[in-house]
Amino acid sequence: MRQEKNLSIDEIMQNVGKEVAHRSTYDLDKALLNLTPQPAPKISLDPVISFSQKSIYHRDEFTAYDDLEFVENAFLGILQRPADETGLSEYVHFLRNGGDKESVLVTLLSSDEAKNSTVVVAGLRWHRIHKSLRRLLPKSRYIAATIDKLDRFFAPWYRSNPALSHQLSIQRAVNHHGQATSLYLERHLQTYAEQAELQAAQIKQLSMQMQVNQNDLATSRGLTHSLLSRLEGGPPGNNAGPIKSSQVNQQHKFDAFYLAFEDACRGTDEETSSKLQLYLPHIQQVVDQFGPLTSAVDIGCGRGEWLDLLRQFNIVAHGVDLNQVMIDHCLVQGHQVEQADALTWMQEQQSQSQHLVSSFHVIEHIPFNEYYLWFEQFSRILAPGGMLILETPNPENLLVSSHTFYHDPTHLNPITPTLLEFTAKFFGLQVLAIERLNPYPESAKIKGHDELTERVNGHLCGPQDFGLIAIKPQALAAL
Amino acid sequence: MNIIVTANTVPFIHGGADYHIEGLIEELKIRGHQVESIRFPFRFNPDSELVNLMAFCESQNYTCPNGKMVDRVISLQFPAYGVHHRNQVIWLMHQHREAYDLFPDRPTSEQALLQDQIVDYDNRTIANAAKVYANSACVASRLREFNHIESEPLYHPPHAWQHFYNQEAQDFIFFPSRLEELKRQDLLIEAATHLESPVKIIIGGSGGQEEAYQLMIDNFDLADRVRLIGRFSEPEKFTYYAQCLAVFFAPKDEDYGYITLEAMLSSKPVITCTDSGGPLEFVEDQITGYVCDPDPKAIARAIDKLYADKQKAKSMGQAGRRKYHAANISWDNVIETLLGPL
Repeated sequence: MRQEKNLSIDEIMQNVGKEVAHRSTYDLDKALLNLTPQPAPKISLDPVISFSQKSIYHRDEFTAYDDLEFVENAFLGILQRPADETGLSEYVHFLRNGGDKESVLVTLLSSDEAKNSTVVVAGLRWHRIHKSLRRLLPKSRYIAATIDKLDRFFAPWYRSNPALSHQLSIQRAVNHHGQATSLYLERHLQTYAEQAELQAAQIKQLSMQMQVNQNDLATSRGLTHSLLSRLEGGPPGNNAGPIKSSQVNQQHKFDAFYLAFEDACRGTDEETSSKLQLYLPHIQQVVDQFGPLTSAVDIGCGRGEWLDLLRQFNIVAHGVDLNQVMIDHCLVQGHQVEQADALTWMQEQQSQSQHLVSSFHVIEHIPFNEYYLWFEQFSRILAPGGMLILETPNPENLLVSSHTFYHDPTHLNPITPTLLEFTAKFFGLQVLAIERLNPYPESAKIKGHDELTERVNGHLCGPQDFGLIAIKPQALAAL
Repeated sequence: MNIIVTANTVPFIHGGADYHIEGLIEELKIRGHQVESIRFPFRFNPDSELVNLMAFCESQNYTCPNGKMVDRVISLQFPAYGVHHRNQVIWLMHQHREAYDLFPDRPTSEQALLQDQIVDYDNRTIANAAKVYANSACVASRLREFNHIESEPLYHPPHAWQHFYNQEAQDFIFFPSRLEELKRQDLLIEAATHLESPVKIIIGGSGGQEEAYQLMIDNFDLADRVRLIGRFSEPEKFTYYAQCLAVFFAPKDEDYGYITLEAMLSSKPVITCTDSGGPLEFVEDQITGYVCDPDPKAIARAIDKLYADKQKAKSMGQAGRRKYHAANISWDNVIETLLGPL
């Protein structure tokens, strides 16, 4: 007979309707379902390392366990069944009152129940004899004492198999450790999952905030542009906007332009390393004299290339530049820099305070009176024996002086090697070298070695830059 | 490939044929082909319309229309397979059955004349194709019988075939189909009067016979046993299939019949009849369902058997699903075959 209820057509149709509704929400949920984290699988080492049932044991495989666990295993191993409650509590009671495990094993092995069992436990022979003797011989103190003596006599013989015990104890330790680790990991995973969820929410909030900020930024940028155009294109006297902030903004725009310009005209790696090879021996000389350089400054440090090079040789140099965008760039690179006017900065320094003053491609940007005052300061702030390195485009190369020098809209006048050398000497500095560097590549030169060719090559394809290396003589310091 | 699919269109009348045509075009496009469908407006009368259309189709050469090379033409219906192309493949959905198996016993002279013209047209144009496939074995055998043209049956999956699924059977038989005489819902309704088991009958769909079938249910006093549920949504369809005990599908001389395939996809046994045509290609008696005589009592006995041994019902359903997969009924196979070497 069929037990189930016979559904009416209406009930069948209702069931179909429910299923259809359920499936449509299920379809919606499916995508979301994939996002919820799955709980980590539970790790259990029990099945891997645990007491196993077999037909031959060594005694130590039982005795490696204690108390309740020992009794349970003994039942499982010897009687091949789980311990009954009475048996379990009796034997545990026996053990907890000083009984030895071997006796439990021997008792179980000699029980009626174990008679038909084929399980063998090695390492219990003496314990069996011991037990039989106690049972057969009359109970007297003398006999008991004798058996105890025998016990001690046979002790080395029935001592535990040390290797096996050791192995078992390691297994148990590993097992316990594994369980503990698993538990620990599980808890931590839980914590991390919660944190991750929290952070995900925060990230979402931040990204929303960022979007808002970006919108604000776009709005202010638009405002700035409109103010600037009013300032630049509006009729005089009709400047309603905040002029000052516009001017600052304008400077910032020029700064950004210059950084972009420098990036576009960035020197090659070759030029950088040739710079290193050229100046490093001279710097080494200063290091030999002063020990590690503690005060070095790079005037007009730009993107910090020279600071990078010095850092490679464990020299921490200070950078000074007028361009805030360059300064920001250097700060990101982790350099010690400040935005300042070079002359003002130098005037603030103590006399004889600098071991190394350098300035690459800056002096061609300044008018002569400033150039003069700079040298005054170089000469003052350098410590005796301190070194000055100046690099500038080389106008001896006709292409430089007539063309490439004017790539940079902020260049004023080319400085000739003669002028530079003279100025250094004028301010009492001892010129060690005028180094010419970065010639045009060989491929650019006209082929041939006759006088005309050499001269043309010399004027058109010769070194594009030159450097002055000078030191402040000890004697000057005395003045 | 540049492919032209030729078929018919009957303005404002849409049915299974549209699913089939649009399905093919979509599947071709999915696989990266350039596809144009050219569908000729089909009118059942007057007869001159058919004659005109045949002549028009036969005048069409699609080798290189407007200078654009066409790699293959796939033609599906009468008379759209009359067009010319060196690499034309016909995948015949059906011929004009009024000229063949549905030709009246006592035709008028006009009907006889039209039949001659149609048979002539078919003999000429179908034989011209580079390759001929049929929608089903039934269509193939008709083509062999009437036109002596050999064709290979090529099966395609039903619409939304991925969505069919299976659930624990409830005690009802499901029969989704248009309510038409040829579909023979009356066989099932009458069978309900002979049932010994408490199995219910759910008949889905609408059609011309709706009133007649409802009247029949009322006359037999079967309101508690049989229900016409009318139109149903696609999700409802999948679930009715999933939960039924078995599917009944026993039309008269069906060409193909998606319902058999849908039941198999839902792992349900199918009850059909010995004269049902298409379904007999898939339903094996006692293995994937029951093939009965077109007799209400025989159908009732089949339903009672399914109820009495639900385990067997279930395993017959599973055998059906296995059979579906073994037959390699897939668009991959269809497209590969239609675009294969000629």
